[in-house]
Amino acid sequence: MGDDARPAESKTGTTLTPEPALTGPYGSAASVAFSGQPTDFVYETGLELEARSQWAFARRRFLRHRLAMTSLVMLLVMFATGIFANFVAPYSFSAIDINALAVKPTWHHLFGTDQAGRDYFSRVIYGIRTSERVALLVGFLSTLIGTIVGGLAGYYRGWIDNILMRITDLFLTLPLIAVLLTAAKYLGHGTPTQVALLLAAFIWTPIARIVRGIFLSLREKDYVEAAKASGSGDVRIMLRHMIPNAIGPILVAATLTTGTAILLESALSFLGFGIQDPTPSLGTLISSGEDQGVRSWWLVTFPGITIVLVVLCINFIGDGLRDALDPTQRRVRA
Amino acid sequence: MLTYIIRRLLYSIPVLVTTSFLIFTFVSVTGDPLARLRANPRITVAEIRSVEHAKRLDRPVIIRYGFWVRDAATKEFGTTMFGNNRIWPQLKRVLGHTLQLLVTVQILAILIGVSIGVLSAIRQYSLFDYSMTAFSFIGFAMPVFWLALVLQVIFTNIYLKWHVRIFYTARLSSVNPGHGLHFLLDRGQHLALPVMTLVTLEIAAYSRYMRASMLEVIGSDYVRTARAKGLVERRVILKHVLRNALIPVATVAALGFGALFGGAIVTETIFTLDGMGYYFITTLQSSDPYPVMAWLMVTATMVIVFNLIADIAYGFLDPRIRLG
Repeated sequence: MGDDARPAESKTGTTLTPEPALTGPYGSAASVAFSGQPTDFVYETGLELEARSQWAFARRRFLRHRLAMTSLVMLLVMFATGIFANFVAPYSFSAIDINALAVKPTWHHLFGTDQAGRDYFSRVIYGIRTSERVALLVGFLSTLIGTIVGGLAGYYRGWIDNILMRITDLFLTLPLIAVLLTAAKYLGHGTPTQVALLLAAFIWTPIARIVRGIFLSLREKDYVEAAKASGSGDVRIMLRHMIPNAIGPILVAATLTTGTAILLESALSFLGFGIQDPTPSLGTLISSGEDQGVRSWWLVTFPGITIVLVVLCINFIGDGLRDALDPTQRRVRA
Repeated sequence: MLTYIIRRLLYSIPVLVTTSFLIFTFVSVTGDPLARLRANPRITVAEIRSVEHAKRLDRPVIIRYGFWVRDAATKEFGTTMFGNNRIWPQLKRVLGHTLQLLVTVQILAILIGVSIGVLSAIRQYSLFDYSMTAFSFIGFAMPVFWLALVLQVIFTNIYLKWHVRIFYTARLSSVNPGHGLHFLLDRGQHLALPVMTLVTLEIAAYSRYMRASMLEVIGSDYVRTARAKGLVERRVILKHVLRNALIPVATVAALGFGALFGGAIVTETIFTLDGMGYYFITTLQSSDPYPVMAWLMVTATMVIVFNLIADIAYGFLDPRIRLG
């Protein structure tokens, strides 16, 4: 969007500085104006830069973040493979090849097969489908709960803030995985939806803390006071004025939570307190691979590498978003 | 300083009480320990009633909580609901084993992680720095259980192929571990892989913290002053930067202990190590609520104690905290 400003500049024959955008949103025009030149000069040469919103800047910064963009493309490819597993996977996740029981990776079975002759490449693809569903649902739900609770706590303070802080204190006193295992045992587990709800119920607290922190500082801002003075209600202030100003950190936290969800889901499923066997998830694949003995190393290796790749991509995207959305830093050019 | 310690100490008491209450309520409200008995058609309703009465399951939760607190305080967490085995002797045994594991992990991880962090910071953007950054990112993205499994698979296959026993891949001791040095060697060979698993992941975190903390201190004014007055770089780093950069890492190390218990659950299950984590999974599967509650309480107490140590240490190391 900002790129269309450049041809317009060169058409008028203005000398182009190599990095016109470095000086700020109104870059060269402002610097010319302040250097004492008559202002009409600016208009005559047609240095009209298209006004860019904060979002446009963030998008440009993100698009230029090479690592984040590569990760985004890789993640989209992997997730798309999962979504279209029915068409992409060479075999069904339960199809049995009697001629290939527990074979090493070959061209026919890229990730090998298990003792029942099921193709592990296809099973990994179906595993991605399950894990991505869980992770996206957890990412969405925990962000929603975290933003609502954290927002209310930061805006109203008082008892709701107190309760929130006590709950987060509590989560600091017990290892998360132990809490999740106990909850999975007693509240039930097995289907992807159950596991997702379980995870979302327990990992929204860091997001709530982040949102609370931002809201605590935003509520003292002048524009919030102005909105109050002009008669806006609390809900309107929160939705129109505070959430948009907190959206950057919330997006980053949501991304990183999605990655955590994949790791936790696989750990729960591996320990037998997550998704149950007929449904392949990346965790259950590793666990059934382990049951089939140490000689079939490929059954453990490939689903694990897939998890590492997916989470790595998500974390890099999170880092890219942080760099792009944090207006105080200018390391990546806009 | 004393008031600071007392204030922190008093603050941790309500946290412990709330934790214990929530643990008890959650486990006893959501779970039905007698589900297996009820499913059995040969057990009559009257028999189940009598079991409920004997185990006080027919009382309100708040009263049962009172009984439980009494048993926990005076009878060392009492006995299991089924079989009436005493909980504490078992918990004490596995706690000892897990502490052997976790303390080794913590010491190694801090030593290696801090060294890597320091080197990365003083040679920022060097090849070493980049490869350690890459290592950390992979460490953050790697599930603990998978790393443990990969190590187990590798070393078991080495043994199966060449019949060399480098490290054991399961259990805490051999059947006949021997005495003295032999025992130590045997224990070391058994603990090596679990330690390696957890240390790898901990290093990933510590080296990042240390690097960030070093870079922040290196950029501060007094370090510039130290350089300006002509101190040797080595002295600037060791004497001025390192000491201050270690302060946040001390807190992270103490707080990380709780998360380490979580890592122990997974690692000990894979290596069938007779520790806290393995015990937790086995009792959770047996659906007996009392050992699970006792486990959660012991862990919570240890984490709270470590947090306390962290805060007090922070107060000693950084006067701005205790005076603020």
